[in-house]
This record gives sequence, C-alpha cells and structure tokens, in this order.
Amino acid sequence: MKIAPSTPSPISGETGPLLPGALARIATPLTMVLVALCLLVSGLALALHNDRTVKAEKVRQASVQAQILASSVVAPLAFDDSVALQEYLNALRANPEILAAGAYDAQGRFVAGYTLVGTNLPDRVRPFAPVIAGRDLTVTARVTQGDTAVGIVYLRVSLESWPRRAARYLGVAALIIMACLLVAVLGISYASLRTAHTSLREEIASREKVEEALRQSQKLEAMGQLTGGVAHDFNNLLMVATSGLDLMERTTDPEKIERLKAGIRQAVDRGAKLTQQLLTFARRSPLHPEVINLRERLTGMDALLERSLGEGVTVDVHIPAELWVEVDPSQLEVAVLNIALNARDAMPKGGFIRIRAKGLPGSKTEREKVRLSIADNGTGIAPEMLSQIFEPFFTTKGVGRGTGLGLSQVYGFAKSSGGEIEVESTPGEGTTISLVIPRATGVAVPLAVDPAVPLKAGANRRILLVEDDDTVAEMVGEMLGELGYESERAETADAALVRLEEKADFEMLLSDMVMPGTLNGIDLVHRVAERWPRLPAMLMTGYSAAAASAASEGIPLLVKPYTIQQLSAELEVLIGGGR
Amino acid sequence: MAYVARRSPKPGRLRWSGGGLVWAGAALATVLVGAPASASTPSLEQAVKASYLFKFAPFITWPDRALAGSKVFTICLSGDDPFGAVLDDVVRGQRIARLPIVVRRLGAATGGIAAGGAGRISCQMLFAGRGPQAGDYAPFADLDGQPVLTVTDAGAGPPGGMIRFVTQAGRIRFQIDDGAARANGLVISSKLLGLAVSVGRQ
Repeated sequence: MKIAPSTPSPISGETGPLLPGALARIATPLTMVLVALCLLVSGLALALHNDRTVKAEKVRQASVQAQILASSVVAPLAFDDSVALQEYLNALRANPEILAAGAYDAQGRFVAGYTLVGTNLPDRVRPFAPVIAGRDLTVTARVTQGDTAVGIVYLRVSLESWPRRAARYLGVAALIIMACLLVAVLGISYASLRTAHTSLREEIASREKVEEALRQSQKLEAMGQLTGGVAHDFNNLLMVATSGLDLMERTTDPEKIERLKAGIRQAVDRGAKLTQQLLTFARRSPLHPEVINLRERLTGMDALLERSLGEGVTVDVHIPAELWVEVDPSQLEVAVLNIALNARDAMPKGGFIRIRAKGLPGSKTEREKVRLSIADNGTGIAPEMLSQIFEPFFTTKGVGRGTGLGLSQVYGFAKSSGGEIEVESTPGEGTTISLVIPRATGVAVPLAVDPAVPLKAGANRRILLVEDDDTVAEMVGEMLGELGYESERAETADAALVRLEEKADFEMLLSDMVMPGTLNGIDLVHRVAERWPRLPAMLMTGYSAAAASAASEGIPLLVKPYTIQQLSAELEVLIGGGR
Repeated sequence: MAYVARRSPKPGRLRWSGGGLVWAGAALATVLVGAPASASTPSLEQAVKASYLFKFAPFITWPDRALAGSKVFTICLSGDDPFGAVLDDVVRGQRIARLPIVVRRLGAATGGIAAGGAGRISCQMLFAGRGPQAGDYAPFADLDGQPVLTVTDAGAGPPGGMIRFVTQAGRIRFQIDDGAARANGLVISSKLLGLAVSVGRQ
C-alpha cells in the first residue's frame, strides 16, 4: 500500500449561476407570469381579429351569393315565372347556412322565396347594406338587367354558431393555454431551483464554517495530546538534569561528578533531539542532505538500536555495500529509529526486526531508487488504521507513552527527501514499512566527528552579543569568555545600534534573531552592514523559518542549541583567520 | 319542326339539346286568357303583354347603328293597338339604353316606315297587331337586316316576328326566333331565351 499525502479536496466551491447573468436577473416568477399573460392577451387578440376577419369574409361571401342569385333570377322575376324563380331559390337550400331566401319585384313586393324553420321573410324589402343581427347576417342585392331594375333578392345567412366557432378556436386556445402553463411551470421551477441553489450555497458556507471549527478543535485536541506527551518526556529529562545537578552539589567525587555530568548532557541532548523532531514533523526543520552510504550509516546504528529496543528484540541488518542515497543522515537515523520503536511496541513479547535494502532499477522517467524496508513480526496494523498511522499525533499508545509524531516524522522525512513510504501489514503476522528514496551516485562525506574540544583562543577580541533572554545571554557570555573572547550584551537590536553609535569598538556582532523591539536580527545585520561594513555579523536562532530566511540571504548562522565546540568553530571561521 | 325540351336539373343552367328547341317549361304569370279585348278597354292579358313588351328591351342588345343619332327609344305599334293607354302607362318615365321611350302608333302602315325610310320614322321595336282584312298588310316587309325587334301575338295579328306571344295553360308565354334576331343584328340574352316556350335557331 502506498500512502500519499491527501490533497484537501474542496467540498464546496463557488457554483456558477444557473443562467447567464442578464437572463438570470430578468427570469423571475413575475416576468414569467407577465410573459404568460402577454401570451394569453395576444392569443385573445388574435382570436378576435380572426373572428372579425371571418365575419367580414362571411359578409362578402353572402353578398356575392346574393349577386349571383340576383343575376340568375332576373328573367324569371321580370316575366313572372314564379316556378323557375322558386327553383332558383330552392337551389340555395343545399347550403344549410342560408336561413331564408326571397325574391321581390321592382316595387319591393314579395314574389317568391323559402325559409327554414324558425325564421320568416319580410313582405316588402328595400335594398340595404348587409346587417348582422345576433347570429344572422342579412344581405340584399338589386336584380337588374342592363339599366332596368327588375327586383331585389334577399338572403339571410346564419353566422357560425358559438359552439362551432369555439370548436374552431379550441385548437389554438389549447396551444396558447399549454404555452402559458409551460411558461408558468418554467417560472415556478426556475424560482424553486434558484431557492434551492441559494439554500445550497448557504448550506455550503455554513458547512465550511463548521469544518473550519472542527479543524480548529482537532488542532487544539492534537495540541493537548502533544503537550501531554512532550511535557511528560521533558519532565523526565528535567528530572534527570535536576537530580543530576542536586547530586553534583552534594558530592566531591570527581568520578561521580563526571557520571552525573554525562547523564545531564544525555538528557539535554534528548531534549534537543525531541524539539528537532517536533520541528521536522512540522516540516520547519531544514534538512541537510548529504550523500551517504546506506550500509555504513545503518551499520553504525546497531548499538543505538539495540539499546533503544531492549531485550527480546533481535535486530538483523543486511544491506548491500554499494547503495548510496542523498538524505539528511541524522533524519534518516531518526526515521529508522522511529520505525524500529514502533516495531518494538508492536511486539510486546519480543520478536525480530529485519532491516533490508535493495536498489530499484529506474526507467526513462524515473530515477533509480533504493528501498529500505524494516520488517517486524508483531501484531500488525488493522487495515482501517493504515491510512492514519502517518497522521501527526495519531497514536495507539497511552498518554505519555507516545507523541504520535514518530511515524509522522518518517513520512515528513520521506517526502522531504523525494521519496515515498510503503506499508504492508497483516494483522497477527507483522508489518513491513519501506522507505523508497532516490538513489544517489557520488562520494560520501566522511562521517562528521565531533571535534575533541579544539577550542581556539579568542585573544580577548570583543564581541557584541545581542540577546533578549537573560539566561541564554549569560550562558553564551560564559561560553565566549571560556573561549577567550570578551563580550558585551545588548538586550535588543535597537539597544545594540545605540551602543554601536557610541563606539563601534567590536570585532564582531553575534545576535539572536527574534527579539522584542522594532528590529529583528536580520534587520540589525542589514543596518550594521550599511553603517559599519567592516563589522562581521552572525545570527543564532532555534526557529527554523527564521534560519531559512537568514540562510537565503547568506548571513552566517548558528542553530540553537549549539555546543561550545560549534560556537568556537563558527567564530574561528568568521573572524579567526583575520588575526 | 320538332321541339325537344329537357329541363336541366339545375335552374339557371339550361342545356340546349343539339339543334332542337328547348321548352322553357315554366308557367308564366297566372293571367287567364279572357275574351278578345276591345281597343278601348284592354284586358289584363293585354296589360301583361304591354308590360312584357317593355321588359323585353333590357334582354336585347341592339347594334350601335340602331341607336346611332337617336334621342329616344321608339316602340312602334302597327295595325290595331291592343294595349291602348296601358302601354303608355308602362313606359312612362322609364328608359331603355338610357333613352326615354316613345310609343308610336303606325296604323296599317307598312314596314318601310318602321325601318326609318322616307317617312323618317325609326323604330327599335315593332309590335304588329291585327291588320286590316285586306291582304296587303305586311308590317315586316323591308325590315330584313334592319335592327328592329319584331313582336307579334300568335292569337291575333300577322305571322312571324322575333318574339311571339302565345298562351299556354292560361298563361302568357312567348316563343323566340333567335335566328331571325341574329340575322337582323340583334342579340337576345340567354336569360330571356331560357324563359321562352320555344327558341328557333336557323
């Protein structure tokens, strides 16, 4: 199984509007209703116009029909052939819309005609323009031959009845009503969609807040756990140091004093290592990669491992000779130690730990790599916990037993070194944790050996020490004095500048980085470089972010805590050669 | 002459069988044929005929030359006048071809007068009534080719004439000799032809 850092996937994001901006602004339920109303009104107007047109057409048709009739009946009417006249008129019966048809002589007297049930013909008729009365249309036409008026024909035509007209408009009406309904439904659904959209966004926003609060509380909880674990460890270290000092005061036996000093130093070293680990987990500790031979380095850890793991755990290291990697050697050791410690804890009744390494061939796209695996035959890790074991502060150990930072350090180290971690675990059978890190070519830097106190004489050269912490200032002052330097302390950068303005009678400036006042260490170094360019300066800090920024500007740096040997060496490099 | 009549099923569209004459089988106005009327008191029959005489005019188209230069439309009566004042009453105030109507009674004069000969009498329509007993009454003589509509009464008067009143089933009807009318340059409307008892075509 490969564990990769989980990239936080945003649960929510700014979701785009449902419609393009301008459209979205006007697409409100009100406008939808207006659109529907417009549709309805235009539909009605269309129907009315249509009705009027149909009526006018009907009038025209009836008038034409009357003209045709008038033209047909002219001779029968002129020569009183009422039989032929009646036949002409009866021909109109084929049209059920014609309710009555009559022929009148030149004086307007009724001559012949027919009517359908429910209507009648007037006795006398004079020509008139078409008249619509109720649902009846009445038209007349003059019967003429040449210039001679022969008579009048009279037609009464039924306009379409309401049911028939309604039937004719039913299709269109249905369409319009459907369209109105559609628009209305669209409007309503869009409105509800928008409401849902808004509430969804509110929901997302509130969820983000809750998540942020949850993260905050998790952080606090983790802080609590860390505080508990670290405080316990530190208390132990302090206990060693305090009791050691107490015992030193009560004894004059040089051998015992030496033993106690060694114990105190060991406790202080462990404390320094612990803070170093914390910084590494927080990935704030700069790595110092070196090309190392894996076999040499890990074989050198044998004793450390055996001492740390205790009785009952057998360590078997087997590593090929020519495996080089470029990593921070101390971090590698810590990582191996952390894995081994976890292995030990997984084997309460004892067992074995196998440390193996082998080279992995590379490809066109991938570098050659080295797999360093540490296997145990312990209880294994439950599958559901596999994804959590590298999380900071995750621990299955009781309070005070573990900080939950061990494997987190391993993860941080692997990632910082351009590698990965693989975990294989079978509950009840054991766990194998493998570091896969890029293989290096090149020559190893020989193992750094602590100089055997080759202290250089300071020759009473004066150093301006800028440090806000009294204890630290006193101790560093003591160390400088021990090395033969003269030191004068300033509490802040501002005070240091004031002192230098009085008289710049110093060979060097040694300053803390983070201090109260308007200037920090870097600012001070800049000012000094401008004002007194011949005065060398060195910074000291225990905070890795500050260290990184100082290093990026090329300012000499001492990382706290440092030993007197380190201090001596750095001072020698900076100002030793001059004199 | 054989008359074959067939009614078209639709009025207004009378179909003519080839070369035959069609009976316009319409009963005419219910005018009972009464006793022969005297000149002084025209019967209802004569009144109808007088009315028809006027009503024929709109259905007839005269050639331009017939009316050229005329200020009046002249209806001439030759022989006995069966209508008396009735005809004058019918045409009073009426116009034919936009011309006021004048009724001229020619007596037993011959057709030459009616054709607008030396006597300068020009008729557009000539009704020939019963003539004198003497055999030389020929009202239509010299009218060949002249645009004069000639009307006769089958019951009384000379033979011939483009339109001839007949009595059928007690109703006054008419026969039309369309051939003669056309020969004289007159066009009779098919509407009128359709109403005729018989139409002669030559």
